Amino acid sequence: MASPAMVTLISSDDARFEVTEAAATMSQTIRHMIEDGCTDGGIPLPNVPARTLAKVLEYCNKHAAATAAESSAAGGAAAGSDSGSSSSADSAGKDDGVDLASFDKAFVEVDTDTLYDLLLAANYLDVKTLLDLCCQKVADMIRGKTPEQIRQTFGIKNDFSPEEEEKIRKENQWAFE
Amino acid sequence: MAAAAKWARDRLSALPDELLHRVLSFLPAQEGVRTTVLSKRWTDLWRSVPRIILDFFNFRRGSREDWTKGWKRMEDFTNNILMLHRAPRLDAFRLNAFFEHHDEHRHRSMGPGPIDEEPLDAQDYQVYRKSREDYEENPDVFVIRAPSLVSLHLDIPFSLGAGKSLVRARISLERGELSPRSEAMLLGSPFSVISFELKGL
Repeated sequence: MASPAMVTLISSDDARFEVTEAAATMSQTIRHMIEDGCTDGGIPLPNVPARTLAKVLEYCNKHAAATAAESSAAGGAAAGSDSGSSSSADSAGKDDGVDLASFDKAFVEVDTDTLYDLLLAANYLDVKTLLDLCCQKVADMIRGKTPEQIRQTFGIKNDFSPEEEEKIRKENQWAFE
Repeated sequence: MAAAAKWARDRLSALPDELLHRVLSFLPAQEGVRTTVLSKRWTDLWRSVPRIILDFFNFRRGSREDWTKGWKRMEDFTNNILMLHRAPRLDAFRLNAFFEHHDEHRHRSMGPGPIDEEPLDAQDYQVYRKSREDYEENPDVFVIRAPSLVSLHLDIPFSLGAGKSLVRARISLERGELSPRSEAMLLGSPFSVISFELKGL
């Protein structure tokens, strides 16, 4: 079996990551750079530090491997190889949905700083499913909380005067009933 | 200084509007609107969220409460959000309404009321209901005008004024639920539909 096409990504702090083209092109930003032929000597990603890029690539590797396993299972061929975490995923195509869902859930169990880093990187790299995963996670952290609890969770400073806050609550009374 | 250091770490509010809109689009609509009181940064964010998701269960306080109270809350809220919302275009509008009893007044105000006054420019439109009896007496209850609609999933009788962008439609109705008028509109509008599933007719 031919080894898969590889590309080199360079983080903002000059760390180099070698990944399969299938994983890298989950990022539309990188896909466009590859299509434009700007891959010689590696693809620079000046907005993404190594720590965040490593995490994003963990996500992309996992999802690209699951996609490959799915299509090879459909074709009856052997699953594509992937480093690291995919050993449990490739065996049964049917279980991949469940497996990916639990992977995704665990993937965003991180501190809020890491979550924002991932969210911004997913936006810059244009990995839509990861961006939605991060946004959903932030929304889940907001859900069910009072405004004061939300402020505390995220460190949001209430810059309304008591009168202003009262006024805005009154104007939007229909949403607080 | 201590306070400044503490608040300096509010990285959520520092995100661009576009990303905060995306975050809010994953919340039930009421919770999204309530973020208006968090701080000045948040006052108007909810108005531009590209997705409105309204679910009756989020308006009902406990299963023992008289359902009409929850319904009244949902009705008021829906009228307000559609009036005050400012997104030039919605990616999705989802209305999940469950009725336990027939009630002529309530289902009528849910239909053409807010939707008709404020035509929705939505790409994805889904309306669910649990009980069919609610619509039997007035099959033209739901009027939808959405020129940018791409995907439609309905199981209530309706009149549809869609534009050329509608490509996916799934409609589940029982025989007799579609009035001649809505049937004419249905047949007249989906020029570009490539996936169309009509069940139960």
